[in-house]
Amino acid sequence: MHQIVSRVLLLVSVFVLIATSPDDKPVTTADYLPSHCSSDPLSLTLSPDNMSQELELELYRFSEYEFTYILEFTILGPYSGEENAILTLSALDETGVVMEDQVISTELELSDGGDTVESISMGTLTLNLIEWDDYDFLIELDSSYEYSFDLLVEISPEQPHDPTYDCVVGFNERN
Amino acid sequence: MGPLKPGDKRPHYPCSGLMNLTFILSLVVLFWNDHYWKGVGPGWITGKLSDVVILVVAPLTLQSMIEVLLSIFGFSWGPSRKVLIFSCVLMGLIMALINLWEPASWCYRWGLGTLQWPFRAVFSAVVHGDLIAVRPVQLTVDPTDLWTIPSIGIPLYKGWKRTTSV
Repeated sequence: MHQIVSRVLLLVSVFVLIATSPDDKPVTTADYLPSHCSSDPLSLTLSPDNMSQELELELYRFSEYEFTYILEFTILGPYSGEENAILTLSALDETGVVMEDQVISTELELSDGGDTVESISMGTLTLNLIEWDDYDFLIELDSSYEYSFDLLVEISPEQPHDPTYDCVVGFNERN
Repeated sequence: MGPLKPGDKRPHYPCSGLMNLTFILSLVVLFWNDHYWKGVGPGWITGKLSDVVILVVAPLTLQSMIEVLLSIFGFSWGPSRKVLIFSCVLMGLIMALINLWEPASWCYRWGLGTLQWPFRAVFSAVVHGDLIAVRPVQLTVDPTDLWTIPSIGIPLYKGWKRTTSV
């Protein structure tokens, strides 16, 4: 009997250790929200042959409750290109269709000397985010030349909240 | 089962080292702290409490896993002081490295994320009908966590009486 109990105890212990990290836990209460988090810059190249690219946002250890977040997309310069161009970024719904009210765009401008700005904000989107969902975006270039740039996304709660914890996001090209 | 010495009333069997109040209480506190107390009262105390009890639970669990595996594969598994010391030193080392060395933190985040993936994948498949990818766990690197490492003495003390010097 003792041996059976000890084996069960061992299984429970292994499960608890795996489901538990010694530091930060996935948050399961609505009182405790992911705060500001930022992705690593994603290097993109768009050209007349490849005018658009689907992007995927992954939320690591995010809230299991849905809250409204502001997503700010920033192009980190200097970017390369030959002429001014329009860059448009749209959020896609679960069927892969562009959400008409979730579209932002910006013009990539070249200075007189051909240099580009260090960074430029594309604008913000407001979305309800939750741990388990996938979030897809479509970025499109309107130009007759190739453009290369780095794009990152920063996420912060729409309403100030306390307490919060640092979150982690992944921002990748969707194949 | 290991040999009983004359007059020794304590039964020795693989993972009998878990059958003590210190381990069971630590396991309960670990679970309760991480899944409840950290939510309602995040801060220094709940953060460090997790580190202390995990350093009690993890070495004894590792020692028991080694004993069970040795007995399953027909090796001599007797409560070994070497295995106990190995388990305690390894867990202390892991706690130190993940808080001091970025590659170790990275390995920990992805390693634990990989171990958690089967549970998360089953949950996601049942609830949402899709399979999620392996994700790293979140880890806030805090070198002051090293102050909790002396708590490794608790499992060492509890296990010492049970083990032999073999």
